[in-house]
Amino acid sequence: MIGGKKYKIMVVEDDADIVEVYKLLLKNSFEIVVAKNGKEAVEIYELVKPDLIIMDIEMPVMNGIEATRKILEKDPNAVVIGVTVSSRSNIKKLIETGAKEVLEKPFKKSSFIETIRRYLRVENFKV
Amino acid sequence: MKTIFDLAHPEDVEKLKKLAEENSKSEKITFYEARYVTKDRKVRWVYGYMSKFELLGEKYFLGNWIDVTTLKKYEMELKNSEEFLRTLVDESLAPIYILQSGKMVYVNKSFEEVTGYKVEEILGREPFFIVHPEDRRGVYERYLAREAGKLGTETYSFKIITKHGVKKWITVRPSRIIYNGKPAVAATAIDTTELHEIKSKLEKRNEYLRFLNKILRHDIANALTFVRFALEDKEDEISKKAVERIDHIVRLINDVRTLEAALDELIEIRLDKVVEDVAKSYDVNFKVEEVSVLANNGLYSVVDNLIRNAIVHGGGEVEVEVLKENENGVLRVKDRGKGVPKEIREKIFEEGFTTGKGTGIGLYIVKKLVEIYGGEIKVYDNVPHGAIFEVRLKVINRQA
Repeated sequence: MIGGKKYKIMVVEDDADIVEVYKLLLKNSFEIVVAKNGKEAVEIYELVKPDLIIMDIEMPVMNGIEATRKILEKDPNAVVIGVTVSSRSNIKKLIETGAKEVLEKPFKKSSFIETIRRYLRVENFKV
Repeated sequence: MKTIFDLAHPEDVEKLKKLAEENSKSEKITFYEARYVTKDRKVRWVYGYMSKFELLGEKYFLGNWIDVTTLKKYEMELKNSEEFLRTLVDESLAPIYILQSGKMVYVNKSFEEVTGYKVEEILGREPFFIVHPEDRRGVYERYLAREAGKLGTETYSFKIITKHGVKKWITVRPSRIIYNGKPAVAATAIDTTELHEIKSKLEKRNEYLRFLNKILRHDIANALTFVRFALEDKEDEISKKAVERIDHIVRLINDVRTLEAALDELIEIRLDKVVEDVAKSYDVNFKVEEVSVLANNGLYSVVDNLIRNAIVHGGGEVEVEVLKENENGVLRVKDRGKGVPKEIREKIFEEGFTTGKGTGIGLYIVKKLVEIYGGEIKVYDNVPHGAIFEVRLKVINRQA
């Protein structure tokens, strides 16, 4: 939290139910912006300037690996966390592209929260 | 020696007598080829002529020879080798053809059988109408470039349409040659229709498997994420059990997911790097030396399954090593558990075998993958106790 303002997290996910899960987990502590696919994420990145990105891999229009590459080209300091059910080779690719780490679905709430806390420390966001 | 015919080879006497007879009635000079026998019983070939003339009312023959034995020997050898090669080409099981200045100048019998066109229907014609329209231009351009000396020998495949309208695949290996003093392209071909059909069926099946796997992995796992989230904080026994079941399904999905990697093409992979990556993630001891093997990303799952297996069953202490032995890349995962009893050593790699701690398909998938890579896996006793899982994969030696 900077100057009373909440950290901003961009969720890039095409499954509406999973987006609901993220909202329930994050909404009290963070400001959330949703992108339905990689292309949308790349397009709104400049406007949103999120502090952290939760990135799925397999999505329509543009996948998460491509989106991560494009976002990191614009802003090498962007923090991308992969949360996915993709193949091992895709996960490897996402890491090679520059994602900080990848969490596999279905995740435990505790693992998810711990992962986010490694990058954004917020008092009321704990396991 | 009474007459000149006494010198001749017995088999040629009659022929020579007949020629002399004919010559005596004609005004022409007669040329001939015949054998004679030397005093030391050696057979020699001669080329000669005879011509009759009359002197003082008497009839005479004038004749002359040159010895052509050596020449004849070379001629026979040439004829033999020509005959040998001609038979080889004419009767070859593989279609063979020669193209020159855009036209077919030679085809063998097998070409007839594969294309359905008779030799006389194709000889002297431009044969590119046989090539399937999709491939025609490419095949023609390659031919032109090759005859002009701009393209070397290569092997490639294209489709043809036979005389009876059947689509076939052929694989050819054309080379530039000089034929009757002019550049031409000679090629051998094989009918690879069956191979291409199998390949295309296999590709479709692989595509289907990938699709199934994607549904399994993506859609089901996403749904489970949602359900797990909804149940995770519930304290009742049913919810707790439901979460356990979800986690079991996830493990199953992960195992099956591995099979998707098995469909990938085999490439050169550093076994030592894969082992290092996986061993580090489990924090187990490893000792590796550099070795490249033929595999794909499924190799990660092989190593991952074996190490996880050793941790679960192996009483904690796990050692992993990679080394090069002869022409094999060898991976050994050693644990200090109870070991694997001899009577179930084969069974543990069967589908559905479980001790209750796993999904029952992990080692089955490991064995399948190792087999796809052309390798083998076995398990034996560690000393003083425990098990050693050993995987042997063929080494790729990079040419310096």
